[in-house]
Amino acid sequence: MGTALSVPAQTQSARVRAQGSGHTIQTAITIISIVLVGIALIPALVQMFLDKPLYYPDARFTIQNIVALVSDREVTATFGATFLFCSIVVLVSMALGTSSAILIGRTDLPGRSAFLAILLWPLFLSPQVIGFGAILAYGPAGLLTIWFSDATGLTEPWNLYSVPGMAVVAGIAATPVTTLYCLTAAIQQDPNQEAAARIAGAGSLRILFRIILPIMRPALIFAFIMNIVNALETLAIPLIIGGPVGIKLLTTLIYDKSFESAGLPQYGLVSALAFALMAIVGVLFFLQRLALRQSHRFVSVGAKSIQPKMLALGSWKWPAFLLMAVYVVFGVVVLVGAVFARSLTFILSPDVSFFDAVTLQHYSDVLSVEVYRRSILNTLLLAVVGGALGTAFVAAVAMVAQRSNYRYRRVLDAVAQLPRVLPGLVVGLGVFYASMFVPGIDLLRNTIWLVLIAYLIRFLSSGYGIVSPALLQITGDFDRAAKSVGAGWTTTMTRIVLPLSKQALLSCFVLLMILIIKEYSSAVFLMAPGSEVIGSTMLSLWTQGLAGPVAALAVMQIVLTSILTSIVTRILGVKLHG
Amino acid sequence: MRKFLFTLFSTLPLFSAPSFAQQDVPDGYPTEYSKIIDAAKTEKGLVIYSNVSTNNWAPFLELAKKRYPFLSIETTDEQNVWEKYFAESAAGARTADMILTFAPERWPDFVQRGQALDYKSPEIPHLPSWSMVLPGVYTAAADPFLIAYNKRAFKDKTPPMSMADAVAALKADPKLKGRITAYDPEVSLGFAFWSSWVKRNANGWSLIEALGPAMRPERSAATQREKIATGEQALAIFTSGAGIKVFESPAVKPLVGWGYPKDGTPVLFRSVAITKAAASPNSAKLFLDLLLSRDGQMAFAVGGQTPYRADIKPGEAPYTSYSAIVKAIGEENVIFVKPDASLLSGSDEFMARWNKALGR
Repeated sequence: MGTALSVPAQTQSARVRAQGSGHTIQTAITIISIVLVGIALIPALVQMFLDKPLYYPDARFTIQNIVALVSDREVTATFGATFLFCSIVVLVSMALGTSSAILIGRTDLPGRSAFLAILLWPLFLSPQVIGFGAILAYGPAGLLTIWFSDATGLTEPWNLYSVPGMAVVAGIAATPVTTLYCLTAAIQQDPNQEAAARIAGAGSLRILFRIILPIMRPALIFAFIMNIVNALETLAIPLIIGGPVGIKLLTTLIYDKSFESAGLPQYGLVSALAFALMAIVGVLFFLQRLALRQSHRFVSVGAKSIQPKMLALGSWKWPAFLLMAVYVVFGVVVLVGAVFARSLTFILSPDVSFFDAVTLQHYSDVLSVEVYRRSILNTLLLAVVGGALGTAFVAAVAMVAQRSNYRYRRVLDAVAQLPRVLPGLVVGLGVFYASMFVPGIDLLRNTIWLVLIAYLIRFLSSGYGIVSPALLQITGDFDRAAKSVGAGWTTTMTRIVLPLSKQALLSCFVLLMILIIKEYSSAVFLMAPGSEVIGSTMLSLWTQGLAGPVAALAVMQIVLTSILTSIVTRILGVKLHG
Repeated sequence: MRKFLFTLFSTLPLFSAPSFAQQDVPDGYPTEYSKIIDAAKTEKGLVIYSNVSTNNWAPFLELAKKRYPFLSIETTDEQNVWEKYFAESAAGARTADMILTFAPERWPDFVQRGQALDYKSPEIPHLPSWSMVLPGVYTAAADPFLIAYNKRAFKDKTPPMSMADAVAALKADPKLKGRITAYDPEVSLGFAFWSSWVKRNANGWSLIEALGPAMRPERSAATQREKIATGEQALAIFTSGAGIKVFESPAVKPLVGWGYPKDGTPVLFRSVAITKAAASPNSAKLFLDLLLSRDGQMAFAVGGQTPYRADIKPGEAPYTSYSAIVKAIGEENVIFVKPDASLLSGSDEFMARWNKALGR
């Protein structure tokens, strides 16, 4: 390169530095994000317009996939049930999740750390196992159903095989994520506002509704949108609970049409559904932007920080404890307990004494096979490395999108939300293609590191949903103060904003680990002998009809995740809750 | 299991035959077979995409390891064998040397796309002709689908062993409504055998219509077995024969009974073929021939699959065998569900009628 060119280049970079250093790194982060999400998005986009999987030589252009989504009688017939299902799921998840987050993060509720530990269990389990647990506990011959019938004399106390029945189960499965999204926001509040309200004579309830909830609004809106999307794309629970009685939702119908009975998979229909979801989410995020136009209103981490005072529940203490206990016992402990009991028995039946059927066989079945053991080790490695890399990446993206003047930060914000609506299979297919055609990535083929890339794309939005609202709560005064003493963007971020969001980053890390441990669908195309994961082992055991070993593996999943979580929180010296 | 294997292998005549170790070529195979063995020795490992779990593969892989110690074999268990194979072979990546799975609706398409290697196994003279329907595609196992029932629900009664029996049982005891599970035809496997069953039975649809409102179909044998054992369901119509192992276990046996449906027992072919994109075709040939041999079929049966060679007599294989099924219900009541292109389409009409019968 000639000297004539290098002079203007220097002035250019000098100007950039004057605007606040970090422009280069911001651009790099944005480009990496767009490339990663593009890897997953482009094959899906192409697939939407093809009548066969895109690697078939005889695949032809079609718009039938999009047409079918809006005009097919069978598809439109599911809209009613889907709407009812989603409404109940979102309602249950938001109500339980928000109240748990506030009670645990903000009040002096007795036993709140124990509640939190148990409350997260459903998050560690794949939805299929939760549905299975629900049948064991609350089905027509479920342990709780029979116990309740015997106690009250009612023959059919409830009907699990109904839209509300499966929606409540799906809602309970979604609650822990809502709790995690809201917990950080609940903990990270400026105590001065509460103190001021107290001085003005406000009671606890008034503080809750006038201060705590409104300030949590960014997190609540994030959680709300995530819940809607999650409810719309929930598949496993409606399949296992609704299938036998013929309840069809949008997702189960598309699943039937695209994977199983049609023989040839119609990934085009799946892609069309993904893009339809994306459009819905686009609208939701636009509304969110309107709602959060003045983000600084939600700032709660300011310069003068004192330890937030826990809200005293007073006479509400024990009623709140009781409500929380009812939820945790019947919504979590019973479900997981049924799976646990199943893992220890040849059969779980009211006709057989538990002690006659008790066995450790299922555990040894899983642990004695080398491939299954390897899948557990691979998953652990992926969880730790993926959790760490993913958190670093999410933090970088969130800082550029939420706390910089970078010109394209809005674009980056949108890009980071996209993978949430991409089905795992589509993400996996995209990464698979990249491994074929992008030089460098092909070296990762048939290793778990290719799976790692898919996971990073797939869970970008999930982590972003935790970190991004937390960053909105840190006052911009810090950035301006840092700038005035000469710190650039990078310094401000790494020295001030990052340490202040430690709590959110930790939650993000834990969430990513949990999601990675139970993920399967995005690994389908990338798995090779040697790179198996727990999710694939579980599916394999399930399709072989081995419910006992599936339950055993699910229990091991809970134990492993709990151990990992507690190790991480201890090493980093941060608690998950206040 | 290990003990059983040991006794099994020690009684196999081939192991005691001294000629085997010297000439390497199995008895009765042409002498040129040694060329395949030599070529296989230079190949780098064998990859098999299958729907057989690691556990169920184990006894056969142990035999293969003994017979051909130089083979390094990797098997998968997945639902996506076709799409993975097509995607990888289209991109020229390393993919499966061999595919082994049910999917009767997909095999004709696979062969038509020229993806199956048309290999003539030296085992052909020993295989029943019905087991070979497509060039290069062999049958690895012929697995039956059963009727299973909760013993308490049919206490002091004769459990139904056919669809007609089931209709009669429902008439006699209306409380069975909602307690009859069927393998769901929404799943391609279910559609394959239900549609074959209806074709065989002239009154099939009227039986389905009579039973329909009482039925709750399941998509997985796992949930079927759980619900039959707990008593949530009284009767399972067409549940996987792989369940025999579970039904016969000491804890489940007092709760669940099973049998072969008298008015037609679907027997599904688990088909196997060497792929066109195979990187190790010679290793695949050795593997395939061993799998089709008598020893191979017996070892595969220890893993839970159903052997079908005529020289395997009822009671010889650990759980069941084709000859045992025929002995129980007669050849005329066996419904073969073999690779068939017409299964790929035409489920719409069937499903419409099915859903109507179930009142959906």
